[in-house]
Amino acid sequence: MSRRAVIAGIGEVPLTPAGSMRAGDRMTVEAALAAMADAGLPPSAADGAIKYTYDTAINTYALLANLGSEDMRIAVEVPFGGGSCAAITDVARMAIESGRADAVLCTRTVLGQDWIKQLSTADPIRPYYMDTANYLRPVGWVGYLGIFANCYSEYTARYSMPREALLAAINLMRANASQNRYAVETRPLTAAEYLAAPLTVGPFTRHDEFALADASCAILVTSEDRARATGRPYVLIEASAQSQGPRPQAYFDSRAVTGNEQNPGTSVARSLYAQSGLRPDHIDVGLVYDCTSFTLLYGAEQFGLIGPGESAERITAGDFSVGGSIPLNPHGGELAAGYTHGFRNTLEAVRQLRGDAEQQVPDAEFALVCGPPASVTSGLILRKGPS
Amino acid sequence: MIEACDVRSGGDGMAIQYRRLLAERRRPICPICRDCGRAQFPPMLICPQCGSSEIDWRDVGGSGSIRTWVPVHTSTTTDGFTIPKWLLADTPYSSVFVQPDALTQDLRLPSLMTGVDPSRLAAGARVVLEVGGDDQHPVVTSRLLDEPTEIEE
Repeated sequence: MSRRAVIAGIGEVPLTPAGSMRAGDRMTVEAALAAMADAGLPPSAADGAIKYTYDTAINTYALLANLGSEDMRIAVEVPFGGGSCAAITDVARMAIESGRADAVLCTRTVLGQDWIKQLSTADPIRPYYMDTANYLRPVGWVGYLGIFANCYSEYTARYSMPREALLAAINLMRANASQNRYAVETRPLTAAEYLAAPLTVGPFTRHDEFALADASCAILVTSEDRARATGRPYVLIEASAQSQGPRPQAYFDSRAVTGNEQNPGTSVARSLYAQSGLRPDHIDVGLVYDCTSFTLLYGAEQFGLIGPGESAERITAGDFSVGGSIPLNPHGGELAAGYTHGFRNTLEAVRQLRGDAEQQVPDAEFALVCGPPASVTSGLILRKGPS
Repeated sequence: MIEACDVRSGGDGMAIQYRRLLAERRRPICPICRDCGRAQFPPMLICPQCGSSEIDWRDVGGSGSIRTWVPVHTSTTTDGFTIPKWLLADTPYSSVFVQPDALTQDLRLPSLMTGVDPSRLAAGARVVLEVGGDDQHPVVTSRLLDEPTEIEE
């Protein structure tokens, strides 16, 4: 008997560019139904729901009520922003492995325009920005771009990160997105066009930001026993972890690359490799949070897929392409396929490990999914299940 | 010591106290634990190092070195960011995170730098820390010193 947690189903509604005017609650129900169907389970079997705190979609328990759930055993929100992307699966795993729930849905719904509204509104409970309203906004803080521009300024004091490398990251994600059924940005960007675009914040132009989308995704986490009984393919959660590091003041103190190994990203990576007994070179495909071009490259370093300071050279060498030594975001990530605060990366990881991805990494056995390399974050290592 | 940090007034209360002290004194300050000496920014509700609630506002001096910075180049925003309204006419400006010389402990104080081409900024560059803004909206500012002096990393 195995209560080991697995991802038994994934589902999503068609992703479109933002502004579709669709209803987030209905989208979430449809994505959840698709995940249950993919898992071979009736919707009423879902007894848990976990989501990111910040959205305008539907409550966890209301989702379960709509699905005709026999009962609710766990209903949780994780309030980390992008850092919730793997944390919600981590929490689902705890519920399954402790025996407190049997079939837990993790969902993320983003309506692009609603999200933009939230981004630019001061949050009364200071969500994951640790009181930016009182102490950072007065010195000109502009939001999430500031976090990664801050990391960039520290990074470039030590390592090289030419704008050509940022462009290469954008174009790799766009090329990958062009193979994806649902994607927002698929047109290659010329160097002339990129270099002519005005800088906005730090090293970024409007092309370096995530592609705003309307999307809803769901996964179903259950026990290996239950998944095996359905006869459907499943993916093992080999490791999962969350961290804010021992110095949780990310937006004030982005000492991102001082080599102290105490950043949230490196802490999560250490937990993941220790739990699984794996090394970074075991990972066949990386699903790396990419709200900006730099975030992708820097994340690949912080989560150990490549060494510190290597990313500019490695992207230029083609190492992150499908067919390269460590393929990243074969579906086009958040930069090009569309922004889900990182959750769609988990769906792509599951597809890669089941062998049914649109742009398949051959024989992928292990996938790393990781949140932003700053602030409060999380990660997973997933493993191909028995066929 | 300037004044005890009113931790019992909570995060909002301390933010009001912080702005009042900046406006009255026109010098950069931060909370420092009376028991263990740990400096912190942003202000916390308790000393995360020793658990003490006896925390004082103290001066952090008028000079320091840039650790990191965020240049905001243009007043034209994208969907993904907004610029504080009162700074729209001041672009390019930079949010600069400064290690004050007066603190031996690693600490990065956020400050605003206007009127300087961001391409002149570098890790280790020396700055003068001051307080600008009106009495309702005081803000710690940093001014770039032209001659680099004793840059310590």
